[in-house]
Amino acid sequence: MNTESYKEAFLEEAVENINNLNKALLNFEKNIEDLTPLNELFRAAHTLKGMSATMGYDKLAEFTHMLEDVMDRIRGGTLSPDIDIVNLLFKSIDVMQEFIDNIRNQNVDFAKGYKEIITQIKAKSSSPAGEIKSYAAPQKPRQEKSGEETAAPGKKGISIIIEDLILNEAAAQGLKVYRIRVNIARTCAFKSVRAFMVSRNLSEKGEIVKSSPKAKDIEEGIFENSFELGFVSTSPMQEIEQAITRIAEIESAEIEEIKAQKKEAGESSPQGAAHTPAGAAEKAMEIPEGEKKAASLSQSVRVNIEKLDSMMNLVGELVIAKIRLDQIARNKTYKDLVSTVDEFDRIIDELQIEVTDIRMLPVSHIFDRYPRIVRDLSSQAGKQVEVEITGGDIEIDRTVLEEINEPILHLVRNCIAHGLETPEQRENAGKTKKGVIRLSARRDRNSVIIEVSDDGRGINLDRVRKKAIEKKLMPADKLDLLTDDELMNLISLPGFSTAEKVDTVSGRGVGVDVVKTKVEAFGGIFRMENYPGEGMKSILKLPLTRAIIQALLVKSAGATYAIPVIHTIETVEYPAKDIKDIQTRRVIILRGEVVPVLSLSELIGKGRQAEGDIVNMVIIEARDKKIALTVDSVLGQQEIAIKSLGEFLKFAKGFSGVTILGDGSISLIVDIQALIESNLKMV
Amino acid sequence: MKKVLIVDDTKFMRNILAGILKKKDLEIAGEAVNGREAIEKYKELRPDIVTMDIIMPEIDGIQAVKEIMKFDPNAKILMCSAMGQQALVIEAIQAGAKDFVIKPFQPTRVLEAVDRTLQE
Repeated sequence: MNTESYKEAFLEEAVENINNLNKALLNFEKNIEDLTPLNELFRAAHTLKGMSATMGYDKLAEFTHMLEDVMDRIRGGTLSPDIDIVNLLFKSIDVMQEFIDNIRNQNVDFAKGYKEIITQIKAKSSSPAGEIKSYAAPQKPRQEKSGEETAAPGKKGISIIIEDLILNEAAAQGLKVYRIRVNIARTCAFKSVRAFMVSRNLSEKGEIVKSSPKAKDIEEGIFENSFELGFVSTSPMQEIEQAITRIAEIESAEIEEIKAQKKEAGESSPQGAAHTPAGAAEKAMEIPEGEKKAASLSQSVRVNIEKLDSMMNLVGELVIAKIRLDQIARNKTYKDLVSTVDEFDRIIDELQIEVTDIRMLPVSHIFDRYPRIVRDLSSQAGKQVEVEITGGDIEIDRTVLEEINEPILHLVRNCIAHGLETPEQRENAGKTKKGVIRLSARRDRNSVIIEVSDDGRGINLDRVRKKAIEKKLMPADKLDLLTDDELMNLISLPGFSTAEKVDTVSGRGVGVDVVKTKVEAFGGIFRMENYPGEGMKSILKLPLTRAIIQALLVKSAGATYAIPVIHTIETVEYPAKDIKDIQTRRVIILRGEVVPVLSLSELIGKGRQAEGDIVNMVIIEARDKKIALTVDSVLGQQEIAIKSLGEFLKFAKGFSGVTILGDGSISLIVDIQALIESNLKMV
Repeated sequence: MKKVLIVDDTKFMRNILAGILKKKDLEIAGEAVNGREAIEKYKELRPDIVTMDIIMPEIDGIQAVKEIMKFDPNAKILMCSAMGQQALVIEAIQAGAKDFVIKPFQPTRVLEAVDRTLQE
């Protein structure tokens, strides 16, 4: 493209944008707390980047790209601005002006010292190298030779495997099953967007039942130039091909139809054999055990998980409506209404149980992967480890299950890397050569408890103590006051796990804070037990489902709050005169145990309310200890449907969501862990 | 001749696009400098195709796509995106945009995208 004729317009608007940058930056400097001028700064830098890249001024594009990134980071809160950064930004604007002058007068894309500014900004933003994304100059379009085909990778055959279950079900419903390989042009910059368009077009004609790589990777564009799909549809092949190839930058779509075959004993999967070249097909035909098992199931339908989610949502709303109706009915005197409402109640309860049930998956879904994972990890670590699984049939909501997959992997890795000893060490300690990792699950009221334990060396608390002092996590005299359990929990503090090599300290600790944060983020509780010399146990207490939970409703400072029952132990009415002051803390003695007292209204920031002679308290479990939370009154326990706080309230710390109560009013759901966490000094 | 509405907050980009589009038999029916103006001009000019920038002041390109699609479900909108804005492009396509091109523009790719979008 001949850009020369656009140079005037470019220069004119570049200067305009530089002026805007200056103005916005001056505004920003006046009040660095107010981030609104950042939007204008970002937009101006973004515009300059696009314009200079179009003109082929790669250096200026690189420079403005970096600035755009810095503004975006400040705006997003990952980089906190100070006067040094503002000064650097002012300097950057001068450099841009110099770029423009040089382009105007000498037609060169250069400015003195622009590299230096980039270095300074990178250093200043103290990000690990490379965090400020470097600008990749756009690839020049390749000379396209028309009529000449690139070597089609599809000649090798499509390797994605479609389970018999799907083949049979599709056959039963008269649907066709296709295997599709989509080849995207090498020059395509937004592969993920093209993939999205393919999936959208296909969804109009049927159902995508499988993908390779995983859907998530395709969404993120993590694939070479092709991806494969399993697709069920009534449409003929030609139509499907057309739906894909009418999208720009799609080079080709290879499609083959596969059919279910009666399965003889010992015979392998039908696909491939008749339709793909032998080599690739054979390799692809090994079906994992789990899938074979699935294939023998029948009487099941595949349901899009989004549909289930929206169904769950509707049931949640029904539950709310039910509670409201219930209250209204009880305030009226129509007998029939009350009995009808009772009936309605029962049906909704059942519906709720059924819907929740559909979303349930046995924990074996993730447990069963571990024997293999542990085998690989332990042999890498030169250790011998066996996995024991119990309670694999315990069911839990699939969203919860998805969330805990990673934490469990983390814990298992820790067991192998740090907890379990080498065969020699174990023999010397009088143990069997082979270590054991136990994964277990069990139900406990409305929660599921998952335990990951090993019979390794446990944690050496002396070393934890030393490390805590070294890392200045706590002064020595305070450390002495801690119980063994409390001491051990120090390893789940963020500061601790950044310690150099943790396995030289205690044999554990890497990423435990990550696990804890993750589990608590969706309302679970995480706790560890240490048996020095004998092993370690990590305990995850998880809600059965994330959408509808049991909650305790309390009043505090005039408003109603919901506390998830999973965190509560009991409620007590405690005589005010028996509340003791120990140093600056208030405590009560509950059955011989000293329990610190906190006021809910104070935690929420409304200050402590006046208390009567009798104080209502909810005893909660937080940070592995009991805390007595004072409230104005306890209204009772009921199930609530959790609604997210939404965009506007997502920064409201200390609340995990909202719910609508029977009378139509809205109540905040208290995030006990977060509240206590942010008020640590008060405990 | 098919009518085009070019939406971009910089004159520079609008000129570049106009230069590319004029090579084909396309009439530049109008230009808009932000999303709000795009919506107004769309209603007024009823173009056959719109090229839509994403990051713009007042109303951005995605919001504009939504509004235009509401007004005319058959509107043909081609997004103009910068590198690294995949997520925004997907949002625009979900809102009804037909295709996209990436800045810096490659004239052949822009013309091909316009052709495809007009044929949709």
